[in-house]
Amino acid sequence: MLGGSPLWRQVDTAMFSGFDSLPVTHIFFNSVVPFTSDPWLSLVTDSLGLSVSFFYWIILIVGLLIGKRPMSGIIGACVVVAMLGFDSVLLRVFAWLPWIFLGISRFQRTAEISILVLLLFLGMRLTYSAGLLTCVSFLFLASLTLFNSSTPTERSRCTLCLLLVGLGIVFTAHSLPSLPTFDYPMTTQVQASVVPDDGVAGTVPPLLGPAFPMQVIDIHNVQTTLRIPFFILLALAIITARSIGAWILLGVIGIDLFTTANTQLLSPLSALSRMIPGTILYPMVSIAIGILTWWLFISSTRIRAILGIAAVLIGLNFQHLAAFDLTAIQQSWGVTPKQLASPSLAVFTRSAPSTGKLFEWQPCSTRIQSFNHTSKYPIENPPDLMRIITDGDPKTRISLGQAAGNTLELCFHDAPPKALWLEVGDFVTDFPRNFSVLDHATQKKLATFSPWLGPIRWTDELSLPYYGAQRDVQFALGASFGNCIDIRLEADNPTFDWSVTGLRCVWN
Amino acid sequence: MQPEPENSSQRILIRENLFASFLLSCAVVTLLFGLLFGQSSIWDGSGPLLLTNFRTYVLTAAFGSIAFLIGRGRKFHLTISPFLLALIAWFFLDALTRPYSWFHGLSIRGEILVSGCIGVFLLLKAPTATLRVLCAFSILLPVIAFLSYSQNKLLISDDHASFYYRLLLLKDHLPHIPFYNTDWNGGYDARDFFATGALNVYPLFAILSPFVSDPLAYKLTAIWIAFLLPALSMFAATKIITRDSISALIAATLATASGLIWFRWSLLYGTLGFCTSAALFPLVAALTWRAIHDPSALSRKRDIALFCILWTLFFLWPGSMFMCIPVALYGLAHYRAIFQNRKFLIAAALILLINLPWMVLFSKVSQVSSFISVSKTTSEQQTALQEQKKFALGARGVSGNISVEKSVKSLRENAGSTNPLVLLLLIPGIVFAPKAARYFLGGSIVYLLVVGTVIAPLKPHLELERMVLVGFMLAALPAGIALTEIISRLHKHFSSSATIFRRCAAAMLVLIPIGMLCASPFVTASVSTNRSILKFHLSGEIWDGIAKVFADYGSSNGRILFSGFLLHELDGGHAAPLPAITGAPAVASSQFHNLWAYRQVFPKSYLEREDIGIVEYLNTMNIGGIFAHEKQWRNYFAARPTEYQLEENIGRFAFYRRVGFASNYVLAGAASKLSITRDTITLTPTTESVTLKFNYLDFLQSSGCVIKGEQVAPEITLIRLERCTPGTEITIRSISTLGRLLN
Repeated sequence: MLGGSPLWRQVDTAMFSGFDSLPVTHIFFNSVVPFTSDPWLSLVTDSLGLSVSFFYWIILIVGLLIGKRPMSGIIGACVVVAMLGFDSVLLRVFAWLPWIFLGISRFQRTAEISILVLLLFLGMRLTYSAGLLTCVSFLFLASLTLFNSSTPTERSRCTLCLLLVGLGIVFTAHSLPSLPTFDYPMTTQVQASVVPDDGVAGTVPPLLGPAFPMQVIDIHNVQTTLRIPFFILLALAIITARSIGAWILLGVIGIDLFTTANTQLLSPLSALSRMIPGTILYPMVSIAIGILTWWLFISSTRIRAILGIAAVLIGLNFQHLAAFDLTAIQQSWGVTPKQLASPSLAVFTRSAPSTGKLFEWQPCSTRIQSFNHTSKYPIENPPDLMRIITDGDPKTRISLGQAAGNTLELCFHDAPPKALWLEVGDFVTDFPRNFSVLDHATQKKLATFSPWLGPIRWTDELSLPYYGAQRDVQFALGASFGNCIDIRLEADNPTFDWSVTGLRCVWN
Repeated sequence: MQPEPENSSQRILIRENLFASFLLSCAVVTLLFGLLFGQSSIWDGSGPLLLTNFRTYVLTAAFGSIAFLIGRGRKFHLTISPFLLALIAWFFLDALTRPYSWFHGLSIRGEILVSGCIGVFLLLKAPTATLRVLCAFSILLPVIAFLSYSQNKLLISDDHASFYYRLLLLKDHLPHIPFYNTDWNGGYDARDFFATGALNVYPLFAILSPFVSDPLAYKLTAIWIAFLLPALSMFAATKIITRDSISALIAATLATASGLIWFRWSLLYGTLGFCTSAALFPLVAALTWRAIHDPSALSRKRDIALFCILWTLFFLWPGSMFMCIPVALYGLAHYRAIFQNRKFLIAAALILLINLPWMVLFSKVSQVSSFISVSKTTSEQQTALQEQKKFALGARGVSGNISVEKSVKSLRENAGSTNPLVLLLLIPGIVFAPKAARYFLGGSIVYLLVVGTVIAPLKPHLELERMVLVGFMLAALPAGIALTEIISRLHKHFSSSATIFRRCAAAMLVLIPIGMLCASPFVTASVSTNRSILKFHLSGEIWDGIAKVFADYGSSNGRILFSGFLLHELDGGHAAPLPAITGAPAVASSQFHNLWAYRQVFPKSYLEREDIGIVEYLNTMNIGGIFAHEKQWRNYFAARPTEYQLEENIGRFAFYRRVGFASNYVLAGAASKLSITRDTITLTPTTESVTLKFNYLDFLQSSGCVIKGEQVAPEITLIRLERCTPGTEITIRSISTLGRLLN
C-alpha cells in the first residue's frame, strides 16, 4: 500500500479515510482546501475500499500512460510525488488533465462528435476533483492547448473543446464546496492567528474567490519545504530545458521561494493567486513546481538522463516529508480528525500538547524566592524588582531590552509552577519576540518559543486551538526542573523593548 | 553634395520639433498629474514627497519654456509617450495606496504587472480576439461574481430598497401616477417616480418580473445598470464616433471599470435612475453627433425610433437636463445642418412630444421651479425650512461659493477613485479622436467636470457633483481611442525591423497601461463582491427578521411604527418596500432617504405631552405594533410592560405590540366595511361625517362625500368626510393623472 511507505507519505489530512468532503489541510503549508466527493467516483472507491486520493493518483497515471510520451509523463508525475509528497490537492488538480488533453488533441485531428460528449463529462469530473481550484486546472488546460494549436482549424476546434469542458464545469458548479467557517475570533480586541505572521501588514484579500479572513498558509514553511525541489528542478532545467518558457517559470517560482513576503506581493504567482478564484487557498508555487516538473520531463528527449535523475529522486527519502505522524499528533492532543483538518493543524504541529489549556492564573510573588536578570541595557529601578512585579500596577515595569542573551532568572521556594505569565501591562508591544525557557542549573532547554506567536487559546464552538494576542506572554514550562529557571531571549529586536510588569503562575 | 546639408538640417529640424512636442506634452501631463493627484511620494507614501504643488508648477514651466525655446514658434503636436510615462509614474507613486483608489493597495501592483505581461503577449499574438475576450470578461466576470456573492439576498443598499419599492409601485400602478399611497405614514403623495428617474429603470424590470421573482428581477435590473449598460452604451458610442471595433471594445472595457465613483452611485447608493441616464449619455451624445454630421444616420424609421427611445430613457431622470447642455450647444453651433435634416427635426419633435407631458406634470406636482430656485440658504435657514417640512435638504441645502481650492479638492477626490487610464489618456485620446468629434468630446467632458466641481457648490441640493462621474464616464471613450493607438504602435514596433532593444522598450512602455486595462475586470469583480472599500449592503438577519414580523403582523392589525429616526438601520437599506412586500402599512420618520438631519417620528406637539401625547399619536395613526431601535425608545417601551408587550428582538430592534389594541381607521364618526388597497380607501359611512386616520392631501377625491382636511394637530391633517349618505359605499383616491396636470 503506497500510503504506508515513507516515500509516498501523505502530506495532508486526507489520510483520514472517509473525510474527503472535509477540508484538506496540508501539513507543511497549512493550506486548507475543501473538497466534495464525486458521486460517480464514490461508487467505485466505496466498492473497492480505496482512498479517493489514491484513486485520483491512478486516474492521473493511467491518463499519462495513454497520452503522449507516457514514460516521461509518468516519471514526471512520480518525481512530483517524490518531491512534494502524496498531496491530495495536487493530485486532484491534475488528475483529469491528461484525459482532457488527450480528448482535445483527438478532436483536433478527427472532429468526432462523441469526443465532445466525453469532454463535457470530463469537465464535470474536473469540477468534482479540483473543487475550488478548478479555475487553475482549466486555465492551465486552456493556455497549453491553445498555444499548442498551430493552425486556425486546430485553434477553433480547441476552442470548441474548451467550451464543452467549461460547460461541464458550469453544469457541476453547484457542487463546488463552500469555504468552511471556523469560529476563530477576529475582533479588534483579539485577532487569532495560527501561523507566524508573514510580515505583510494586515491580510491581503484576493480580488476574486473565497478566502479566509486570517492568514492560514505558513509562508515560511512553504519556502523551506519547496526550496529543495526548486534546486532539483534547476538541475533538471540545466540538463533538459530548451524552452525559454520553462526558464521563465523557474524564475517566477524562484521569486516566491527566495524573497520576503512584501516582495512576494508583487510576484507573478502571488498576483495570479489573487486573481484566479480559489487559488489563494493553496500555494500557487507548489502547483507551478508540479507543472514545471511535468513540463521538463514531457519536453525532454534525453530519456536516459531523465531516468537516471528520476531514479535518484525516487530513491531519495525526504526526511521533511516523513517527519510528521498525524495519528500521533491526534493522540497526544486528544483531538478528533475534524479538529486536525482545520487551520489549527499548524498549532498542533508547532506547539507541545502541554501548552494546550492554561487557566487559573494566580499571583505567584509569594512563592518566588529570588528574581534576577541580566541585560545589555541599564535597568529602571534596579533595587525594587520584586516591588515592581508585585505592585499590580500595569504602568511600572522592568525594562530588559530585546537583545539576544538577555535573561530573566526566577527561583521558587518549592515546586515550580506548571505555567508562567510574564505580564507586559500597558506596554503592549514590549513582549519577547523569541525566547527559550531553560533549567537554570543544567541550562537544558525546557521550551523554545522562536518566534513567540502568542498563548494557545481555544475556540468556543469547534474547540480549535489558535494563538492569542502576543502581548499575553503565557506559556507552559514543560518537563520537570529544579527550583530555578532562566527565560532567555534568542534574538535581537532593536525596535521593541521587553517589559515585565507582573508575574502570574498556574500551579497544578 | 549640396542636398546632404539640407537633409541634415531638415532632420535636425524634425528632431527639434519632435523633442519640443515631447517636452510640451511633458508639461501638459505634469500639470494634469499635479491637478488630479496632488502631492505624491514614492511607493507607499512613507517616503519623502516627490511631487508637490510647487514642483509641479516648476516642472510644468520648465518643460513648457524649453519646448517653446526649442520649437521657436513652430507648430506643436501632443505626443503620447509622456502620458504613458505618467501612467508608469502613477504606478510607482503612492496614489494607489490612497483609500479610494481604483487600483488599491501595494499588492495591486503585482496584478497590474502580471496582467500587463499576459496582456502584451496576447495583444501581440491576437489583438482583436484578446480584446473581444477581455471585453466579454469585463462584463461577465463582475456579473457572475456579484450573483455568486449576493446569492438569494435582496440588494437593499441605501436607495436600492427605495428603488425596489418604486418599481413595485410602478408595476402595480403605471400609468396612474402620481397617486395617493396608503402604505406609509398614513398616506402620502407617491410622485417621486419622476424625480428619481424610476421610470427609466422600470422598462427592464417590467420585462423581467413576469419571468422571475420580483427581488431577482430587481437584482438583474441593478446588474444591468451597474455592469452591462455602461459597457454596451460606450461600445456603441465609440463605434459611432470612431467606426473602429478595437477602440469600441477597449472603451467598453474601460466603461465597466471607470472607477469607484460609478459603483458608489450604482451599487452603494442605488441611484439607478441617475445611473441609467449617466450610462446612456455617451450613446445619446454620440448618436446626436452622428445625426448632425451624417444625415443618413436617421434615414430609417428604426433609427429614428431608437434615437427617440434612447433620448426619452435618458431624459426620464430629470437631472439629465444638466448633462445634455453641451450637446444642445453643439447642436446650436451646427443649426444649419440640423435645419437641413428633416428627419432630425422629426426625431426632436417626437422626443419633445413624448417627454413634455410628464415633464409638465412633474414640474407641477413636485414644484420643480421652487426647488431649483432655492438659493443662498444658510444652515439656520435650512433648519427652519426643515421644521416647516419645506425643502428638507439639511446640509445639502447650504449654498457655497465658487472656490478654486474647493473645486480642485473635489476634482482630486473624484479623480482619486477613478481609473487612472481614463484620466491620463483622456487628452491624447481627444487628440487621436476623429477631427469632427474632438471639440464635441473635449467640450462635453470639460463642461461636465466644471459643472461637477466649480458650479456644484452654488446649488448643492441639485447634486451637480454627479456630473463629474458623467464626465469621467464619457472620458472612457477618448481613453479607448488612445489605448487603440498605443496597441497599434506596439504592433508597428514588433512588425517592423526594429531592434530587440526598441521592441523591449516599446513593450515596457505599454506594460503598465495594458496591465491596468487587463486587471480592470478583476478589480470590478472585487468591487462587485464587496472586497473594495465601498461596502454595499444585502438583506441580512435584521431585514429578513423585520420583514417576517411585518408579514406575520398582516394588514388588518393597524399600522407598525418605527420609533425615533430611521435611516439605514435595516441592514443598510431604507424601510420603503416592507409594506409592499408584506402588506402591513407602516409609519416612520421617513421611509426614504429624504431627510438629512434627525427627525423624531412623534410630532413635537404630541411629544410635549409625553406619555399621553405618545398614546394619542399612536391612536390617531392607528398604530398597533412598534419597532424600537434607539436606546431611549427601547428603554421607554420596556419600562411600560402593561401598555407595550415585547414580542421579539431582532438585532438592535425590539418589536412591541400595544396591549389591548384594536385596529380602527375611523377617528370620529362611524363607518363599516372599511378596506384599504394601496391607492384606494373604500368604506361605508354610517354617520354623515367621518374623520379617517389617513392624511388629507388636496388632490384626493371622494365618490360620495365632500372631502376636506381636518387638522387634528399642528403637524397632522386627516381626511374629513362630510355630507355622506349613511349606508352608501364610497371610495377615496387621488384624482386622475390628467386631472392633476390640468388642475
